[in-house]
Amino acid sequence: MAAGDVVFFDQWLADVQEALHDHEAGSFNLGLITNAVTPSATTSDPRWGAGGGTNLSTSQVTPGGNYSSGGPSIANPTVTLTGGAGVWDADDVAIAQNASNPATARWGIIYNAGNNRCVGFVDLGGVIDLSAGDFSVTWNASGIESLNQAA
Amino acid sequence: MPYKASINPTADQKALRNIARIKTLRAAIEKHAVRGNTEKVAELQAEHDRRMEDVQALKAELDAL
Repeated sequence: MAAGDVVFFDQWLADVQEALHDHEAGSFNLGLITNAVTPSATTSDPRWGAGGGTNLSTSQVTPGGNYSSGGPSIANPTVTLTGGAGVWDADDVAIAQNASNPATARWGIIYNAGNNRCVGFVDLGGVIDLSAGDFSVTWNASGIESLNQAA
Repeated sequence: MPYKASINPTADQKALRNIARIKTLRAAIEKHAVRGNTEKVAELQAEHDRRMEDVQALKAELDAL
């Protein structure tokens, strides 16, 4: 994997078909975690909290500065039909430099703040010290993800 | 299929993203306007306007070369 790679959890494939996510009206956050765990597509029923198979919030970075517990919101989610694909996109995420920001961010966890079910994760490429400089995740020009008919 | 994001993107990456997101926002604004979701339209319009300002600022820099 490389910096910026976005991976969706296998569990999300089932959750979305059980209407457990509304990718436009719902509230989504990007929680930052340390390298204490390595998420993968197969991570068991990942949650940002108790109640599932894996509670990723237990590896959250230490909140402080411009990073509040739970992580920043992924604002303005949109779902559009583009070229035969349903595309999920949203505003980018930015955290301004602050001396009290967490210093050990390794992964960004995309999760539904309404039910704490995780959607996927972003590889930050290495441990990032947010106290040393501004931090931002800019989604791809094509969006965060798309769903289309299988060939 | 998830798409690759940029961590601490370059100016070029930001510019490409702004243009693509503006196109997406216009489609989403049109959809929600038809549905009468005025609150959502206002939120999306604010992001649209912010990104347009970024693009205009970049254009001004180019025009000044």
